[in-house]
Amino acid sequence: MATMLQFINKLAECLKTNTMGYLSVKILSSLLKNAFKRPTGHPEIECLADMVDYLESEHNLLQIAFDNFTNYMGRVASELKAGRLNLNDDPQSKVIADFFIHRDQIAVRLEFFRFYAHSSNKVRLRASHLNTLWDELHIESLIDDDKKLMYTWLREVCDEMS
Amino acid sequence: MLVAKVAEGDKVLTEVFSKDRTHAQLVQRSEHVVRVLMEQELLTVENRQLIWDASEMNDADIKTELQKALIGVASAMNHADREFFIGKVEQVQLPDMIDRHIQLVTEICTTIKQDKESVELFEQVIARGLQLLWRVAMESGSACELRIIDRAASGFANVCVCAAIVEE
Repeated sequence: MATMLQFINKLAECLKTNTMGYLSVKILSSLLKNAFKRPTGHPEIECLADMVDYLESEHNLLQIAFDNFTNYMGRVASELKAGRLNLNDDPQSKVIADFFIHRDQIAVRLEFFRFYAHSSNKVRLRASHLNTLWDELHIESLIDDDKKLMYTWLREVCDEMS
Repeated sequence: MLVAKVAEGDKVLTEVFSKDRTHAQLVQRSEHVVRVLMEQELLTVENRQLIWDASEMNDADIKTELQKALIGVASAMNHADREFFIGKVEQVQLPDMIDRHIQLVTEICTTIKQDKESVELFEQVIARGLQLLWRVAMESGSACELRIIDRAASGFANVCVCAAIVEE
C-alpha cells in the first residue's frame, strides 16, 4: 500500500500542476477501481471510501480534477478560436491539446467524476461542479458532440440516483 | 547431472538464438525450451544475453516471435532473470520503446510467485518496473508514440495494484 499511496500522491500533484491530466485521471480511476476489491491491511486506508476520504483531505482531489478539466477545456477553446482545427472534420477524434484525442479526454474525466463522487459518503458532486460541466460542455464548447457526452453522463448520474 | 543439463541447455540456446543460425520458425518453437530452463533456474547471464540480443536482432519476424516468447515465459522467471530483462528494457531509448517492451516489464512485475522469492526481492523488481513505466507514461512527452504511453499507463496501474497486494 505504501508504494501505491506514494504514486497516488504523485498523480494528485500532476493534476494540481496540470501535467498529463488525462493520464493522471485515467491511472487514478484504474487504481481506485481495482486496488480496493479486498481490505488493504493499511491501518487508516482500509477500503475505497477511506482512500477517497484521504484524497479529499490531503489534496481536495475532486476540486483539482475539476480545475484540471477546466484548464483542458480552456486550452481546447484557445486552439479552436485560433482556427487550428476544422470543426466540420470530426474534432472529437482529433488531438486538440494534451496528447490524447478529445473524446477520450472528456469521457475519462466524466467517468472519473461519477465514480469518485459515488465512492464515499463524504464526497458529493456539488451544484458548482455541475455548473462547471454545463458551462464548459454545453454553453462554451464549440464541439457539438461535447453536449451529447454531457447529456449521456447526466442521464447515467440521474439513473444511479433513482 | 546438473552440469550435463546446463551444458545441454547452453547448446540448445546457442542453436536457437545464434545470429547466424536462427530463423523465425525456430524461435517460434523456443518458448517451451526457455520456459523449462527458467523453471529449472538453469539460465546463465550469457544465456540471457544471447536471448536478449536475438530479441533485438534486425529481423522483424524473429524480433516479434522472441519478444512474444519472452512475455510468455515471464511467469517462469526467477529474480535474476527478471532483474536482467528489466535492466535491458531500462537501457532502451524512449523513441525505440515498443509495445512489447512495455508488456514484458508489466508481465515481469505482475507474475512473480511470492513463494519462490522473498518479499524484498519482489519489491525491488516491482519498484524498478514502476519507475520505468512511470517514466514512459508520464515523463516521455512526445519521445514515445501515444500507443506506447497509453500502454505504459495501463501497465503502471496493473503493477501498482500488484505492489499493494504484495505489501499487505
